[in-house]
Amino acid sequence: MNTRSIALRAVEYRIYFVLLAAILILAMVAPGFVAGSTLTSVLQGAAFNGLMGLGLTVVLIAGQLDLSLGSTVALSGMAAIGLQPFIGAPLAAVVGVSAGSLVGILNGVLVAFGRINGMIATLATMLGIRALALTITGSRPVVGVDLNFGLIVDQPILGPITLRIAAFLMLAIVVQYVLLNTNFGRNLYAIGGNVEAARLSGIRSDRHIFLAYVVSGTASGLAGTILALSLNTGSPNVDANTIIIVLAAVVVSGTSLAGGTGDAMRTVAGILLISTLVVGMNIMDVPSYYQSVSIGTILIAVILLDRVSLSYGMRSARLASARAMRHAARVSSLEPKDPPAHEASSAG
Amino acid sequence: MTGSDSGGISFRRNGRLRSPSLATIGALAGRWGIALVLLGLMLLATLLSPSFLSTGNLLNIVRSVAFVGIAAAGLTYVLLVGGLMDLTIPSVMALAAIVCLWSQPTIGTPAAVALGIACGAGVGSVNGVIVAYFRANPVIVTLGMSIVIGGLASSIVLGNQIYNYDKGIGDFVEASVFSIPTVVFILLAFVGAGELLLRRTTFGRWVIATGANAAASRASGLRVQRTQIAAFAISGATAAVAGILLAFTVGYARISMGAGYEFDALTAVVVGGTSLFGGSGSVSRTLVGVLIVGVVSNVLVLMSVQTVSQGMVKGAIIVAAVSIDMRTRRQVR
Repeated sequence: MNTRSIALRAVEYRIYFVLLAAILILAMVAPGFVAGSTLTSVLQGAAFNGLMGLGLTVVLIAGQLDLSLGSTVALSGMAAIGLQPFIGAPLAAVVGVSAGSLVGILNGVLVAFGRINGMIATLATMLGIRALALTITGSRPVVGVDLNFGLIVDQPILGPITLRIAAFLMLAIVVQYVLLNTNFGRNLYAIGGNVEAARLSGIRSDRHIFLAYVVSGTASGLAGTILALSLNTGSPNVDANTIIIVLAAVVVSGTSLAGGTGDAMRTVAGILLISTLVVGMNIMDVPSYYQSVSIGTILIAVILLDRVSLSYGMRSARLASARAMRHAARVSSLEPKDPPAHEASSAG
Repeated sequence: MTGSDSGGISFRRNGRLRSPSLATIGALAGRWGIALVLLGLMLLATLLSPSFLSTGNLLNIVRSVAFVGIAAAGLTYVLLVGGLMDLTIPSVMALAAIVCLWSQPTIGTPAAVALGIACGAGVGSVNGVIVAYFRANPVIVTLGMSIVIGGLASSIVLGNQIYNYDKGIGDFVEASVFSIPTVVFILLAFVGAGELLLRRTTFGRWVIATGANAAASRASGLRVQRTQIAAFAISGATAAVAGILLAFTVGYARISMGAGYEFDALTAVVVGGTSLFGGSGSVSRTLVGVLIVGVVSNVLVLMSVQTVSQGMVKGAIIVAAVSIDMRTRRQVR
């Protein structure tokens, strides 16, 4: 490994360094940051966004986008709470998560089989599902009847780990395993990297993209159900910034919107970074608008770093391929064909 | 110039003659279908609700879509140039309105309006520079910018709202000429100017060419990056105008005033038939798209469907518009 490839690898996994730097800086400048309670609040905050972020990661790796996360969270939360009087709390929670899967199936059908652009299709379902959630409840939040059932979500299981944190970490491990060690996961990277090349190597991209959306919808359903149970309230109004923060965390962690890159562990780090910054800035009494400015600035800075390092990497790749071509030309002593075949045939 | 929108309808592609009847129908549907859809909708609306075709109601529709229409006219340029999306629209609306009302007591209304629009164009230019020179994904760039700009706008008013103290400009925006509201004239002026800029100037051709094929445009000597920056600056400026007009109409500005406008504007552009991937479409088509969404919302209100339920219909319209668009494009090609 030469220095250049080490540098590129460092940029690829930069999120771990950024997270470490953020923790160190906050530990120095924010009095009271180094405390057990900080860890708990960071993890609690990360768990909700993280569940959505993990689902979004899968969709982004396949080169698609899911804007409907926030609406899905609202619908699932309302199902999980609103159905409690009728079918009991445990079953209502299951229905809540399944509602997320259903939205995922709808998105998947529109994008993978309807061949509608992912951003537009999920924009449509975002509007539609939010309207559905508002209509069902007449724009009012629903309050649960089984308060005790919701309490288990935030009970500590082991040290600072509550059930919702455990759900987040478990999902992260499962997604990481599936992405890196199964055919399905590896095919997702192939599709996101180059859909045409994936098709030519026999990968059914429509099925994979469909499943990616189902994973994303189910993860959002889980997030919505857990949030609603923890508040004992299902609200049809989702904070519009939720999707923005989640998308920012996932992209900062190195998952490209163009597809084919990223993994679950880096997403966890990205989510932890945003959550750490929010908790740290709250400790320092930074007003929320300056918090937005700093998080947005970090996002843009990382994008710029990403692009600069990519063009650096492409330049080295081009140099390497030029060297290889010169070498090949010397070996076979053949001139490159001119003009290329497909141009000649379409000219007439 | 490219595509079926601007040139004549060709039956030939790759030297082969396609079935002319199918191609003609497809191409005609592609060019005029959107206006026919609007007419059909209006006919349907008249049948469903007798009060639809009254002058007062039609004016209501155009007044209610004026703000989003102005923002959508600018967003059309971003989509045309292949810029995919401008998510800063809500935060630019808020920033421009807040800056305008905040500076109004010191520098006077005209200068404050100019300052607000300059802020919008400035934000758009920064978006454009990052997208054009760093080739970063516009969705994520404008997402990050919207977080920053929203925070900055909020810090000016410390999270509160700010009021309009110039009664005159509020009255002017609310006023009507021949019972047509001023904002509708402003909307038509922006659509007309946007259409002329697109169809009658070199810059407009560069926008279409860059969106259709950036690499080929660069090879033919077009200033691709500057064109992209200008498209984003236009979108920022029109979002600023929409925000300032909205603030004058309601009498105050606050950070959440533009929430949802980015998606409403995108819906209008896409329903109008401007391609998501650039190179084909027009500002007047966007106006038709805005009107279609406005007519549908109006009919739902007249049929006493709750406002909150309308999102389901909007979602269905988007899916239908994009599917029809793809089908007609496929037939033409």
